[in-house]
Amino acid sequence: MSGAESHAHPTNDVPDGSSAASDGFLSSWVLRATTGSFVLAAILAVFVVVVNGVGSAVTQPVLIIFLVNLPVVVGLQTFSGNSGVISFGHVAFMAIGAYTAALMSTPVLVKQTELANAPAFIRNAHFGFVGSALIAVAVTACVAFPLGFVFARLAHPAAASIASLGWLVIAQTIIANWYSVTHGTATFYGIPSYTTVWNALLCGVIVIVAAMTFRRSPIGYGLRATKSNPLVARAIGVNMVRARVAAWVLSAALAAVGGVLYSGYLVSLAPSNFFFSLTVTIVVMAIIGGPTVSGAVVGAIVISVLNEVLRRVETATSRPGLSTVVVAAIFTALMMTRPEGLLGRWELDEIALRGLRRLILSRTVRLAPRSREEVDAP
Amino acid sequence: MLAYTFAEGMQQVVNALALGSVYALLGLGVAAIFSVLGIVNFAHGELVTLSGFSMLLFATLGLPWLLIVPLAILTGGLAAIAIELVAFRPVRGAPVETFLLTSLGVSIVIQNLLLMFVSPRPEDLHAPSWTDATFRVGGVVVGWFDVATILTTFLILILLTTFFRRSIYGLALRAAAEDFSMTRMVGLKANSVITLAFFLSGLLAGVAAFFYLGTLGQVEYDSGFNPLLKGFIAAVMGGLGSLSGAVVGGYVLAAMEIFFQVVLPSANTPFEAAIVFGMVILVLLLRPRGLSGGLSAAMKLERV
Amino acid sequence: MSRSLLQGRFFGSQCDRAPRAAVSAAVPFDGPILGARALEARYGSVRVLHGVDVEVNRGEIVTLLGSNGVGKTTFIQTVMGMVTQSGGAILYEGEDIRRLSPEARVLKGLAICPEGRRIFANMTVEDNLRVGAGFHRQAEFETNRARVYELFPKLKTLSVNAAGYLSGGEQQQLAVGRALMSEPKLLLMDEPSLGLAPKIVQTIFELIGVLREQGVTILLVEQNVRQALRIADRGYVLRNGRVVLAGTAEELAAEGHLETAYLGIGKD
Repeated sequence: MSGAESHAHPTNDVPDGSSAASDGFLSSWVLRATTGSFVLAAILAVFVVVVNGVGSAVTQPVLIIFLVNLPVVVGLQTFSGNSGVISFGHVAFMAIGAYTAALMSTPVLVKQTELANAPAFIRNAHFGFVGSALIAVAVTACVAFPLGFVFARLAHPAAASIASLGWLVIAQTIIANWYSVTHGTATFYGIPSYTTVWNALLCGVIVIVAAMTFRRSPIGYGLRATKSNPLVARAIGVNMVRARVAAWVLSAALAAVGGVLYSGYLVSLAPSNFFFSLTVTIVVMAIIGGPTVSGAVVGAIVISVLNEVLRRVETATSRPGLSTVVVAAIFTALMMTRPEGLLGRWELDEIALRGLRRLILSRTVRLAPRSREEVDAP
Repeated sequence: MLAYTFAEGMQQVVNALALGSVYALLGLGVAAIFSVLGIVNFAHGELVTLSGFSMLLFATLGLPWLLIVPLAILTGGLAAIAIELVAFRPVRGAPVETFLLTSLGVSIVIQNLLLMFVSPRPEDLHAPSWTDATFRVGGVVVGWFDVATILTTFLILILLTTFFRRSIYGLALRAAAEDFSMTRMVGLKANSVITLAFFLSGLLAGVAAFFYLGTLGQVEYDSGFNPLLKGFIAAVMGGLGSLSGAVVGGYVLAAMEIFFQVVLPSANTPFEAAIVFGMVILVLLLRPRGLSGGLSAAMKLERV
Repeated sequence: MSRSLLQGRFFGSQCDRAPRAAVSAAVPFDGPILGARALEARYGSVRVLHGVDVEVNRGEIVTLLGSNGVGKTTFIQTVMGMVTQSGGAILYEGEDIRRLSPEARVLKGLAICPEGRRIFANMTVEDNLRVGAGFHRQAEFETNRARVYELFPKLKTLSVNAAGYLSGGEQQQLAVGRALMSEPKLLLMDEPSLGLAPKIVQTIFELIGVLREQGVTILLVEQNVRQALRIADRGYVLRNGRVVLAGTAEELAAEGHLETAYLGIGKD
C-alpha cells in the first residue's frame, strides 16, 4: 500500500486530515478514496442492475431489502472495522433515522389522527424523500455525537460492546414508550412509499463513497492504527477519542440512511423491528466480509443471498429456524478459521492491484532471496 | 405513590434479595469466564435454557425433584464444557473480539436448534408445588421459593469462597485469572483450568436456571436472552473480572429494578430497563474498574 | 537466609520419586540433564535463536550470558515450551521434549523462576507456594513448604501476606520457593538479580550456591557477569541468537575481551 503511507509528514503535522489538502490538489489519499469508491460502487451498481433485470417479482423485495440493509452494514463497518470495537447498537441509529424520516414525510392528515399529541412542528412537517432523509441523518448524527464520546472512552473492547448493547436497549425503550411521537409499540403506519431500487442504489453509492473516503483518509488510518497498537498511535499524534467519535458519528449517519430507506419501503414501523434479531443480521453481514468497506458490501450480498436461499428451503421443508441455524453455523465456523473475514484486510481494488503487481513482478524480477542466510546475516 | 406500609416495604426487600440472588448467580457465571479468559461468553444464556429444558425432560421422565435439580445443574456444567470444546478451544489465542463473535454464533445456533428440534413454543415448567408455599412473618407474606433462592445462593457463595481459598483448583483459577501463562509454567494445565472455569460457570447457570425459570414458570428457546443481559449487567457493574463484584452487582441491579418499579409511575415502568443500562454505561465510564475494582486485574490478563 | 545443610538431597534428587512419571525410570539417565542442539526459535516470523548448543549436566550451575536482546530469555522460554521451537532439538534426560507442553515439562522436573519473578500478587505467599506445587505435588506440600521456609525464614513470617506487598528481594525468594515446590530436577532462573539492590543480589547468589549444595541443577541466565561466573561451573555467551563463546567459568572469567567484545559493555 503506497499512497498515504509514503506521504512524508513534517514532524509536527498530525494526521488528522487538516493538513492533507495542503499537500496538493490531488493528495494521494483523496485519489485512492475516489478510486476505491468508484470501483466498489461500480460493482454494486452492476450487481443491482443485473439482479433487477434478471429477477422476478419474487427477487425484487429481496434486492430492496438488501439495499435497505446495506447502508447500515457499511455504517457498522465504518465504526467497527476501523476501531476494532464491535457495536451492537447501530440498529438503534437505523431506528432513529427511520422514525425521523417517517415523521417528516408522512402526510400531515395522517399525523393529525395518528399522532394527535405530537409537537406541532412534527405534525405539520411535510418533506419529500430528500428532505426527510437529510433531516433524519442530521438528527441521528446529533444524537450520536454525545454518545460517541462515551464509547470513545471505553478502552476494553468487551466493555464497549456490552455498552453498545445497552444503547440498543435504551433506544428501543425510548422509542417504544415515547407514544406521542413514535406511536409507541403500536405500528406507525401511513408512511409514503418512496423507496425504489434506484434511489436505494443511489443511497448505497453515496454511503460507499462516504465510508471509503473516511477509511482512506488520515483520520481513518489513524483510527486503524489505534486498533493494532494504541500506544504507538498516540505517539505519532493520533487522537483516538477524536477519531473514534468521528467514526461513530459517521457510522450512525450511514445507518440512518438505511433507516430512511426502511421507512419508505415497509411503510410502517414498529420498535420491535429494530431489536436483537436485526442487529445479529447486520453484525453478521458486516463481520463476515471483513473489516473493509468492500467486505461490508460483499458480506451483505453473500448473507442476503444465503438467507433467501435458505428461507426457501426452510418453508419448503417447513422447519422454521433452519436458515438462522445454517447462517449462524457458517458464521461461527468462519470466525473460528478466518477471523479477518472473507476478503481479509484489503479492499477489493487493493486486492486486484496486488494480484496484478504480483503477476507482473513474478515475470520480471526474482523476488525472494535465495536462501535463509541472506535473511539472517547480521 | 410512596404510601408503602412497612410490611409492603419488607416484601420488596425480600423480592429484591431473591431477585438479586438470581442475578448474582448469573453474574458470577459470566465473571468466572471473564476473569480467567478475559472473554465474554454470549452463550451463557443458553446454559440457562439448556438447564431449563433438561429439568423439563427429567420431570417428564418422572424423576423426583430432589434428583431433577442436581441433574439439571450438572447438565448446565456439562453443556458449558461441550461449548468450550467445540467453540472456544479450537480458537485459543484469538483476540477478544473473535470470542465475542464465535460465542454469539454458538448462542444463536443453540437457540435455533432448540427451536427446530425441541419446541417453538414456551413450555410450562412447574417447580414442585411445595415451592409455592408461603408463610407469614408479622404481616409480610414470604414465599418459600424466595427464601430457598436466597439461602441457596448464600450457601453457594460460601462454598465458592472456600473453594477459591483452599482448593488447589480454586487457586489455579485465581492464578490463571491473574497471570495465565505463568500458571502454565508452574505446571497447572491450561486446558484443565479453562475447562474448570467453564464447568463452574455452567453449574452456576444451572442453579440460576432453577430459580429463575421456576419463578417464571416456563421455558422456551430464547429464555436465555434475559438472563444473559442480567448476567452481563451484574458482572459489568461489579468490574467484569471480579467475582465478588459480580455478586454485589447482582444485588445492586435487583435493588435498582425493584426500586424503579416502586418509585416510577406504572406508565413509565418500561423505562426502568433503559435507566438500568444507562447506569451501567455510567459505571463503565466513570469507574471502569467497576464497583469492586476487578477490571484492571482482568485487563492485565495474558492469553495463552 | 538459612544456610543449614539439610539432611540428604531432596530437591532434584537423583532417583525419580514421582510415581506418576511415565518415562522409564528404571535406569537413571546419566548424560546431561539438558541438551539443546542447534536450537532455533521464533516469535511469529522473526527468528530469534539461530542454532544454540547448550548442555547442562546434573548438579551443575551453568550460566547463559549476553547483553539485552541476544535471546537468553527466549532460550529459557523455548526450553519451557512457551516459545515456538522452529528447529533443532531439546533433550531432557536424553528425551526429545519438543512435543511436550510446558505443563508436561514441569511434570518431568523442569521449573522456572521467570524474568520479573511473576509471583501471583493477589494471592498470599502460602498460596503461591501451593500453586507452585501444581496438581501433582499436593501430597508433599507440607514437607516441601517446611523446607522452603527453612531456606527462607523471612517468607515464613510473611506467609499470610499478599505476595504483591513483598519487597523485590522477598518476591525473588518467593519465586524460587514456588519453583522448588514442584521438586524440580532442573531449575531455570532468568535474571534473578534484575532490579534488586546490591546487598539483596548478594543474598540471591548465595542462595543459588545453597541450592546447588542441595542437589538442584541450575541453568542461570544473567547479565551480572561477575557474580554469575563466580557461582557457575560453566557458561555460554550468546550474541545475536548464537553461542559465541563457551567454557568453564574460570576460562570465561579469564577471557580478557569478554565484556567488551561479546557483551557490548564498555567500548565496543
